[in-house]
Formats: sequence, structure tokens, C-alpha cells
Amino acid sequence: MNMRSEPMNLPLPIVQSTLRRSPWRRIYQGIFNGDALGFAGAMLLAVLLVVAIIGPLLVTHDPLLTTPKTLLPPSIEHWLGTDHFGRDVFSRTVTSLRIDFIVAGLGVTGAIFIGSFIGLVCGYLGGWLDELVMRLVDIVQSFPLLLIAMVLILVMGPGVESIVIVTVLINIPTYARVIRGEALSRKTLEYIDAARCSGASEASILFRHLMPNTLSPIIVHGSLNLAAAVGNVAALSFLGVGIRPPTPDLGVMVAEGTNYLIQGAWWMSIGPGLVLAATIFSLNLVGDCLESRLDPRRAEG
Amino acid sequence: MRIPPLTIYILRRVAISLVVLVGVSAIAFAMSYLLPSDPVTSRYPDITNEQREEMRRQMGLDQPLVVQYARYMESVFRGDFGKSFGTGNTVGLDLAIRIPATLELAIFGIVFGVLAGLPMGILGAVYRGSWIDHVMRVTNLLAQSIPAFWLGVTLIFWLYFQLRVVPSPIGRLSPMFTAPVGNTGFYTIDAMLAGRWDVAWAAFRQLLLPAFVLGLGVVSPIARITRAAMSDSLKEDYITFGRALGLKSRQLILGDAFRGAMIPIVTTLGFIVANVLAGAAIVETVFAWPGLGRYAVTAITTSDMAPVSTCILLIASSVAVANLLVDISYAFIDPRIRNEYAQ
Repeated sequence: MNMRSEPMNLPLPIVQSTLRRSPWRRIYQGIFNGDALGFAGAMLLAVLLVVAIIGPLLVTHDPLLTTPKTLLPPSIEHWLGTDHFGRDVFSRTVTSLRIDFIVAGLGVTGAIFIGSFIGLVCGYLGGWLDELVMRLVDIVQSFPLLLIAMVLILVMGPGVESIVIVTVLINIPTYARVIRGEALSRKTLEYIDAARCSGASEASILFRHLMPNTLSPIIVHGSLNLAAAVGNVAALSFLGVGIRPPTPDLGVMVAEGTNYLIQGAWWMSIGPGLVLAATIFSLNLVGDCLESRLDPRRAEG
Repeated sequence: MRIPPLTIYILRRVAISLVVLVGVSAIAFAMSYLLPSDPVTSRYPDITNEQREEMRRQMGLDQPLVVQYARYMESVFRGDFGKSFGTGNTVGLDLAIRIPATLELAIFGIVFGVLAGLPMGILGAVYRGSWIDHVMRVTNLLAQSIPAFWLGVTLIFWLYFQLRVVPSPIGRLSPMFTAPVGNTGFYTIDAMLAGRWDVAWAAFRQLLLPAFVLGLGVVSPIARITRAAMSDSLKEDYITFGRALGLKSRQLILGDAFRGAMIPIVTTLGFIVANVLAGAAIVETVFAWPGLGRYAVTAITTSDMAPVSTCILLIASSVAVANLLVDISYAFIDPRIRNEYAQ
């Protein structure tokens, strides 16, 4: 499989026929390869991202404002009801989505940069450094990462920064391993030799020639990883060591809702939970679609 | 003397696992060391500074880190994991009760996950690209995407508070029954061995919901790898040959192709053990299940040092051992791997 020269190695007639179609059609065919599920996932993700970005315009109430109207069921005034402090559940859910996207996104981006750097250098240089780092990765990956994350957050002190740092730390091994494999399999290819013959420095080979070609696995793992990270941030908050109340967070909202289920206040946890599930689901759909798009073994015959 | 290649392979894998275990124990020790609580102050809040220094000396906390780590490892090998000030028991005693609870839950969960995941993967591979494949794909992505803690809470609300079809989610057995005493520590099996079928049934019903939520986390990895492995093995020449001979599809798919797909499926075992043990922390918290996961979560949030390092050590070692077993079984299944070490 040759994916070096062209990012998407489509036969020429298909490229020409897609170019004549409308731009939407081209995106659908070109990026999603006619995969309706992946496309649906991307649309769902786009909607959620827009909601997260323009969230402050959408909220109907102040998400932090406590009122005497506690535990009201959903109504025209409060679309998803109110919680035990009389706060509007809909406004809190929208705000949470924004915070959770930022936290998980920053965490995964940090892990991508650091992990890919480690993986590139190890895969390219090889030798004892590679052996040492990969054994470390083995060790870290045999740990219960959720528990390690809890310990680290307690060590650093609770707060949004700690969660971002922990998300970076627990995801570094994934990228280190994947990118190392890519670098290892690509460093012997002709274009690297060509670059070396034309006098390129090692650093230039590493970052200008090798790195851009490892982007597609980064994108696939990035979206699947972001799905897991959103879930983990919420799970940490649910267990009480993540984002602290009163800052709205989907995991915190589900956790708070749990305490009022017995009084029948199902609306406190159902909305945030559904939004959380939809976010993770859309990211997984997109990741799954990209994976089968970029991995020829999984592509349709 | 010629050492058989299989022995070399196994010895090499065991050596790598030992290196991993040493790293694991060092990190587990470091974790408990890092926790923001002074074991002296948390146990005896109202002591003077001199008394505190004296206590620290007695507990060996003034020694260099390496010495403390060595003493820690020495006591671990003696089977002494320290004392939990949360429960007041030794960690060994606490774990003796909690490990069977988690194992029973995890085994039921994994059995459910495999029973659901394997057919989904096989169907996806056999009907590749058709609507059945797409339905399977969406189902297992959904299973992977629904957060376990929210699903648990929602199921408790509908099935217990609203419909009353499941028993109340308060651990392994309703307080109406006395816990069965037995050797396995599995309530279902101990009760059956004691001839108490009503207790076994009650314990089983108590298991259903948490095992379902826990098992849902492994449905997707199993279905995914099964679909990929089955797709590959269905393309093998021996399947085409079998078809040409006119063998029945059922025999070809479930017998021959599935056997060919077993290796990659078995390889995910280590991953699944890690997944289930991590998921247990959440599921046990939601369902008030008195197991390892909830013990670890409580210990971490209360800065209870001894249980934290022991739980982390225990879980990470189980994952390392599972991976070792996978690698060894791999060599037994595939002769090419052990022959690599023949030279």
C-alpha cells in the first residue's frame, strides 16, 4: 500500500468524477468514501462542537445561579428541569459540554505533541533508547490508568489544570507506540534516502520528511482518543476527583443527579448523560470511519 | 546442550515480564509515597512535633527512598501489605474478602461480553458491507460510547426504582439473606454447594445489572477484533478450498474460519483484563459492590496509602501476567513464533 506521495490514493477517474460534483458531495465522497455512518457521526460532532462554541449564546439561564425553584421537572421555562440548587439543567449541560471539550481536547493535543515526538525519535534512532522507552511504555500501559489518574490528580491538587495534565500523561504512551511503529516502517523508504542524499540534516529528515507522513494515524487515534478522554474526564468527575462543583461538568451533573434519583428527579442526570454519550459516540463513529478509510486491511473489497 | 526454542521463548518473555513487574512495583510504591497525606499526621492528628518525628523514625519514614522501597518490597514478599486506617484491618485481610467479589463480577461480565461480542464480530465478517454489518458496527460503537457510570445509574432508576424488576443495588446480596460461607468466595457457587438455591438465585440476580454494565465495555473490543480476524481467515485458501469441496457454510465459518481467527482474539485477553479491572472501579462504585475497585477508589480519595499501592500493584501485575500468558499461548498456537528463537 502506497500512501506516501498522495494522502488519499484514489484512482484518477474517481478523483475527476468527484471534482465535477457539488462541494458537499465531494466532501461526502472524498473524505467519507460514501460511508453514511461516518458522515452522520461527523455531522453529530459538528452540531455538538457548534453548541459548545456558541454555548454562551444558547444558555437560557445563568448556569451557576442558584434559585429557590429546586428539583423542577422539565418545562417550557426550564427545558431539562432544575437541580437541587434550583440551577437550570439545560444551561449547565451546554456549559459543561464546552468545558469538557476544552479539557479533553487540550489533554489529547498535549499527548499528541509529546507522544509523537518521543515515538518519532525512538523509532528513527532505535537502539537502547528505543528499547528503554518502549519497556517504560509497557510498564505504564499495564497500569489501571483511571486509578493512576485519580492518584495524580490528588497529588497535584484538584482542578482543571491537573485534569488536563493527567490526560496528557496517560495518553502519551499510545502515541509514542503508534508513531514509533510508523517511523520504524518508514525510515527505510526511498524518500528518506533521497532526502539524506540531497544533504538534509537528521533533524530536517525527522521533522520535515518523516513527521508529516505519520499524520494519518495521528488523526485516527486522535479522534478515538478524544472519545476516551471525554469519557475519562467525566468518569473522574463522577468519582469526585475531576472537575469540582459548582463548575458544571457532565460527570459531576450525573453524579449529583444520582443522589436525587430516589426522589424521582430523573431529569438531573438523563440530559447530561445523553449529551455525554452522544459526544463520545460521534467521536467514535468519526474515528472508526477514518480508521477503515486509512487502513487498507479494513477497507471494503 | 540444546535448549528447545520454546523454552528460550518462554524464558525471554518471563524475563521481560519480571522487568515490567519491577517497574510496576516501583511506580506503585511511588504512588503511595506521593499521596498528599502524611501517614503519621492522618493517623494521630493531635501529636506534638517531637512525637511526630519519633513516629516517623519508628515507621522508617526518615530513611532514603530506595531503602523504603526495599523494605516495602520485602514486606510484600512476606505477604504483608500494611494496614488500612480506613477499615482498621490489614490490607491482606481486606483484599481476601474483596478479591472474590471483584472476580465473580468480572467473570460474569467477561462471559457476557464474549457471548455478545463473538457473534457480533462473526456476523459482521460474514455479512461484510451489508446492513447486518452496519447494524453490528453501530451497536458496538454505542456499547463503547455509553459511559458506564451513567448507564448504571439510569438502569438502576428505571429497572429498580420504577419497574422493580431488579433487586436493590446494594452490593452482593440482599440483607434478607446471610452470606454463604464457602471456599470459592463466589456467592453463587458457595450457595449452590451449600444447597441453598434461593440464596444462589438472589446472588445471581444481584450480579446481573453490574455484570451487564461491566461486560458492555468488552463487547466492542471483542466484536472488533473478531470481525477483523474472521474477515482475514475467511479469505484464506483453505476456506475457498472447502467451499469448492461443497462443505456446509456453517461448518466452514464456525469450525474452520473461526479456529483460524482464534489467535488475534486470544491476544486481546490482556487488554480485556485491564479494561474490566479499570471498569470495576466505576461499576462497583455505582452498584455499591464491595470489591477491589471500590476499595481502591475509597482508599485513593481518603489518602489511605497501604491499600492504594497494594491495589495498583495487584491490578498492574494481573495485567502483566495476563499479557505473559497471552504471549506464551501464542507460541503454542503458532509454531513460527517459537522457531524464531531456534537459531
